[in-house]
Amino acid sequence: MQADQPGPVLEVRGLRTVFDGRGGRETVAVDDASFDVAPGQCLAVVGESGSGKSTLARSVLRLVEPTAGRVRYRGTDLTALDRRALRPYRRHLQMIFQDPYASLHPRQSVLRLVSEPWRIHRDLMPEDPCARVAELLEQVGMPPAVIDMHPTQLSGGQRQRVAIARALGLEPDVLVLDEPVSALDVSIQAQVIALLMELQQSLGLTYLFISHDLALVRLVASEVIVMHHGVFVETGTTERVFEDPRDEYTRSLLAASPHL
Amino acid sequence: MSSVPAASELEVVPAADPRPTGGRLTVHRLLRSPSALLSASWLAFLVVVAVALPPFVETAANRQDLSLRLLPPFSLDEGFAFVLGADSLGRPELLQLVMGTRSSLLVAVTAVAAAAVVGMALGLVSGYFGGWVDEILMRIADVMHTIPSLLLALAVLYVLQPSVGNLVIVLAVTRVPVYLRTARAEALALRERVFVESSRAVGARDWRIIRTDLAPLVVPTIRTVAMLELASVLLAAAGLSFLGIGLQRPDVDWGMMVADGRAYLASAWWVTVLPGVAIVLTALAANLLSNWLRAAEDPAQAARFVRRPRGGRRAA
Ligand SMILES: Nc1ncnc2c1ncn2[C@@H]1O[C@H](COP(=O)(O)OP(=O)(O)OP(=O)(O)O)[C@@H](O)[C@H]1O
Ligand SMILES: [Mg+2]
Repeated sequence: MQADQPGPVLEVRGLRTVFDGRGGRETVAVDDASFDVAPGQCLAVVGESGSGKSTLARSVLRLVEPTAGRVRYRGTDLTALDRRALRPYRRHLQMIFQDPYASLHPRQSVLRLVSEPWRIHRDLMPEDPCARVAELLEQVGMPPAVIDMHPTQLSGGQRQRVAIARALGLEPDVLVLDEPVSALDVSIQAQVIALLMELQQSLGLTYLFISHDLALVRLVASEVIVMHHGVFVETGTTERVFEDPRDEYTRSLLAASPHL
Repeated sequence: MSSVPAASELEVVPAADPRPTGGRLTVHRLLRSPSALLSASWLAFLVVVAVALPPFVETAANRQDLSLRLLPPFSLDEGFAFVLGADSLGRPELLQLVMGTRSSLLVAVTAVAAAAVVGMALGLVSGYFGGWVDEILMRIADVMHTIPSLLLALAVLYVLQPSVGNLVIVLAVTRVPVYLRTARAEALALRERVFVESSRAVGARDWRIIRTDLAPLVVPTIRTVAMLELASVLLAAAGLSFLGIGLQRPDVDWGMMVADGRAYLASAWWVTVLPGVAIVLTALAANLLSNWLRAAEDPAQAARFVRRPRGGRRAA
């Protein structure tokens, strides 16, 4: 990882994503989003349901094609690459999805799930894939015995750990976490968050952390973007945004969140 | 936080079998359904006959002996080969049936398998990519749907040389749309699933997603449809052979045997009825078994097969 390089890991400029609805009606899910993510930072994006957080994440990774704007990863303009040229870059930017019950293929074993990405990025294929998978599982706090299990045999928290192991196998630089714990039991949430924080520390990962849990964001993020109807209404350091919210919408969000 | 928080400490791994419709249970349930069991046994018997016997009986089956012309069945005077009588050229009916079993099954199974593989591949591509590929494939499927497949097969075989190969190809082509539609419908739903996006996020290209993500989830449905199709393809093949544009001698299948015996129906019923019975029984067995399989593999109906209410209705 090129963590020692100066400048932001991610530079997003004027990103806009529009969905064509039925009958010519368009949804502007993300409108003119611009932000930087510094190496090793945890940048949070908050906002109510439907505010465009997931679409922002997916647009940054080009899982949906943005309508306009630029995404630069360590100087490379990802939006300018064709699909073929983009593929080698995908390993650097990995995503953890909200629902671990939906994001893991139901017919694949844990071994297969974690090792599948190496079949795509052949240069990362370890000498002994089984051993490497076991190692990754250990890194996310899973016993090696789960290696032959299927997602259906695992709990939500365990599934999310497998998803994290799968992403880590690609030795990524940036993890985009789209509400990574909101589908989990409250007691499990804390464990998975603790794991993510610990991994960020030890691996020097950069996080784009999407959440609607303000208490959680305050705990983990250094900077916060507040999103409303696809627009950034407020951006700032976590402390500043929570202590001194300037936008009306941010204030109503904070007011609606009881345990802050 | 110094150590990695472990998942195993607080979460319990459910030990239950994740697939209640797995192979062992299906066999277990098969034993409880007499009609399905009977059907499966009949089909298994035919497969064994078709695979094991033909090399040994081929010459005897085609040996003509006009002195035994239309020999009545159920007599061992001429040896066991003639226990079901002889046809109009004095060939032993039993051995002809054995040879016919091989041809009939081979044609039907090959045609069904070919149609299933091609139809599934096209359907997955159609459903996954959408757009003009989908548009074109669905138009073709629609057109083929409006033409009766037997009529199409008839026309094509009339123009082409009637042969085993052409028969299989024609039967397969006319049945492709069935699988195409099934696979397309499933692919349309599956491509929106999050695990597909997850594959895309790790850099998988479309073909890999179709192969490793979609196909394994579509195969069970295709398999069930193929079982169901076996009966109708068997009947279609018999029909084409009956019309003389299917197999040609010295190959023989059940449809051809029925056709050959037609002229002697009044005097020698067995020459027509025995292969006819074979066709009907086999089509029926394939149908019963596929219906049972479909229900058995459907988790919503699975309970019916696990707990079988006997002797009156249970209190709900
Ligand atoms: N594939 C799509 N096609 C059309 N519209 C979409 C699509 N995905 C999202 N949208 C629309 O874009 C808007 C933003 O959705 P998005 O999923 O990004 O919100 P979100 O902030 O992630 O919400 P949540 O907290 O519920 O996950 C919504 O109005 C949604 O209906
Ligand atoms: Mg979302």
